[in-house]
Amino acid sequence: MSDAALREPLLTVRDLRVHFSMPKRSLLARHRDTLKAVDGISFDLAAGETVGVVGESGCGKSTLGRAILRLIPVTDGQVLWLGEDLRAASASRMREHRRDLQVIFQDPLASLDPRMTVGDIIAEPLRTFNPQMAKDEARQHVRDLMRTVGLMPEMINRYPHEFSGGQCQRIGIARAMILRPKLVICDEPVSALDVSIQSQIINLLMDLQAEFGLSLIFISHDLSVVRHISHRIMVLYMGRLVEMADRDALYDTPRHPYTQALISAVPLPDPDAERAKTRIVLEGDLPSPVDPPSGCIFRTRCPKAVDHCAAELPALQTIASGHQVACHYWDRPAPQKGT
Amino acid sequence: MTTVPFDQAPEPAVEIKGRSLWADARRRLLANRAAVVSMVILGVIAVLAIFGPWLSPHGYDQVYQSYVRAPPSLTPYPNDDAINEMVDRALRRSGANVEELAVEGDTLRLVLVGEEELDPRIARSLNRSGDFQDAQVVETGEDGRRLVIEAGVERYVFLFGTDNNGRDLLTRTLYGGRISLMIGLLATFVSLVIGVTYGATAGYLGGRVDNVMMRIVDILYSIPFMFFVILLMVFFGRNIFLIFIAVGAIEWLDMARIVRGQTLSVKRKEFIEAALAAGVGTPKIIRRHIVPNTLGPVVVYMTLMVPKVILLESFLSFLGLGVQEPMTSWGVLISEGANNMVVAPWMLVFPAVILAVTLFCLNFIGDGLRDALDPKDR
Repeated sequence: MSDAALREPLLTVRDLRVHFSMPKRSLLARHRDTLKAVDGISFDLAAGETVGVVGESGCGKSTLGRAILRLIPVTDGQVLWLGEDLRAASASRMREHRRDLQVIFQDPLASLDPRMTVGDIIAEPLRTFNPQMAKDEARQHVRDLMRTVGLMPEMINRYPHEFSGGQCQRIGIARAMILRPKLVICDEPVSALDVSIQSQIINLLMDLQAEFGLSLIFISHDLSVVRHISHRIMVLYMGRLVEMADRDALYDTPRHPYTQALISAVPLPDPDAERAKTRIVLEGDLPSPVDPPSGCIFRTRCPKAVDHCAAELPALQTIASGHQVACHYWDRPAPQKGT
Repeated sequence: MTTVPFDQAPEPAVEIKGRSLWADARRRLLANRAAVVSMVILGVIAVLAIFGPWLSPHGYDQVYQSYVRAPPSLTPYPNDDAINEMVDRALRRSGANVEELAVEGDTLRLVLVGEEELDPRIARSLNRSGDFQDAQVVETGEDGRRLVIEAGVERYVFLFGTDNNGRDLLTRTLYGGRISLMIGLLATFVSLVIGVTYGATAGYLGGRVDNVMMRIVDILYSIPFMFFVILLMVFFGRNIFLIFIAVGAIEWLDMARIVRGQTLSVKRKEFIEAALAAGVGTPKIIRRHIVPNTLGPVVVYMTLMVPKVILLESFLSFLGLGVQEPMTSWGVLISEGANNMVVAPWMLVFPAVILAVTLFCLNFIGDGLRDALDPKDR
C-alpha cells in the first residue's frame, strides 16, 4: 500500500447508495422500478492520492463522482470530508466545502458556458467565493493560471467555441484549480480527446497534483490511462465495487474475474504481444440494472460462476494488504474453455 | 464578403478580443438581405410614425368639413372645379352671377354681376362658407351691379385622402402607427420580462415548483381573452393602458412556456453542473447561465410576437374595445376603412398596406434572427 493511504483519509465514503426510482405505468397498476446506480460503495482517499475508478458504461462511475459532490441526491450511506458528513451538511456549510471540492467534466465544450468569455468562466468560482476581490486581481489570477495550464493569457477574452477540445479541457481544469481545491473529481476528462492530447492533459493533471498536493478521483473507462495516473484503482460493475487494489497489484494480479477480463482486453502496443495474448471474452450482455441478477451481480457473465453464486452475494474481502475483492472463488483458477 | 485574417500573430501583451456568439449572430444577420431591408423599412416606418405627426400640416384630430372622404391626390385641394362648386354654393341666395372666375396661386378673383345692385356683404358670405378667407370687395362698378372680389383660397394636400369626418388620413395613419408600434413593443417587453423570469425559474427549479407554476399558467390560459378584456373595461373604464395590461397578461404565458422549455434543455448541460460544483447560488445560475442561453429562441419569438400583439390590438380596436377616438391605431383605421370600403377604398387600402408591410418586415427580421442565432437549423 502506498504510504499516502496510510495517513488520515481526506475523504471517506461508507456504503454509498444512489438509487433512482423510475416511474413505470402498466395497464393495471402504477409502480416504480428502482435503478441502483451506486449500491454500497466504500473507500478512503488520502491527501495527495489518486484513486482511479474504472468500469464499463453505465456502471455508476459518474454517478459516484456526482454523489460525492452532492450534485445528485444520495439515497443512503456516508460521505465524510475531513471527518464531516457532507450529506448532513447545511447548504451554507456545503457551499464552504465546495471550495475544496472541484470537478472536471467529460465533454470539454459542454462544460463551458458558450455565452461567457474564458476569463469569466475561469474566474467564476473566484467570484463566488471571493466576491470582494478586485476585478483586476481576479483577472491576474486567471492569467497566471492560464499560463500554468498551458493556455496563452492573451486568450482571456475569447469564447469557448473558438478553442479546440484539448484547450477547452485546459480551461475546465483551470476553472477547477483556481480555488486551490484539495480534491478534484475528474469525470472521464480525456475520453473525448484524441490520444496525443490525452497524454498532455494527463501529464498536466499529474503536474498540478504534484504542485498543489491535490487528491484526484479519476474516473475513466480507459485502463491504460488510469494505470498511468492512479495510485489505487477501483473496479465497478453495475454500481458495486468488485475489486480495489494498488495499481500494480491490480494490473499484475487481478483477482476478480471481471477485472481479469477487463485487463485482458487492454490492447498492447507491441503487435506480437498483442497477437500472442489470450483475451478473456465475456459472454452475454450487461444485465438490466433495474432487475439485477440474484446473488453475485456478475454471475450471468462470469466464467467461474457456480450455483452458489446465485444464492449469495459475495462480500468484499481483503485478500492482501490494500487488496479487496468481491468474489467467492477468487482463488480458484478459471475453468478451461470447453469444459 | 471579406475575410478577416484570424490567425495573425498576436502581440504578446495584447489581449485578443474574442468574437462572442452574439457578435457572430449579428454578422450573420447583417448578411441576410431580406432581414436588413426589412430593418431599414421598419426603421423608416418607425421614424415616420414618431416624427410624422409633428411635421404634418394637419392635426390628427383636425376636421375639414368640406373635405369629407376626399380621395387621395397629389394635387392640392380644392381644384378648380371644386372652387366653382364652392363659389356657387356660397352665392346661391345672393342673386349674383359669376361672370368671371380666376384662380392664381392661393388667390381667387371673382367678377360678379347682378340684375340689381349687389350687396357688398356678399364677401362676408364667402368667408362664412369656410372655404375662403379674407374675401374683400376690391372694385365696384356699374352702379354697384358689378363687384370684383378677391379672396384667399386655403389649399390642402391629402396624399392619402381623408376619412369620414374629413380628417387627413396620412396624419392619422402615422399617428396610428405610433400607437400600434408602441403597444407592440411595450406589451412585448412586459411579456418578455415576466415570461423569461417566470419560465426560467419554473424550468430551473423543476419538480413540484415547476408543476405548480406551469399549472397556474394553464389556468390563466383557459381564461377567454375577450371576456378578460371586457371585464377590465367594465371595471376600469376605457383606457389605453388597459390594452397593454390585457395583451401583456396574455402574451407572457406563451413566453413563459417557451423559456421553460429552453431552460429544461439548458439546465442539463454540464456547465450548469460545473457552476453548481463551483458553489454558485440558484438566482445567480438562473441569471448568469440559464437566461443568456435561452435568449436566442426568445429573441426570435419576440420579433414574431410584436406583429401578433399589433394584430391583437387591431382586433380589439376593430371590435370597439381598443383605442378611443380621436386617438387611433392601425386597427381602428382598418376597421373604419372596412366599413367604407365601397365608397372610399383608400381608407382601407393605406392603413392595411402599411400594417401588412410592417408585419412582413417583422416576420423577415424574426426569420433572419432565427437563422442568425441558430445556424445549425439552416
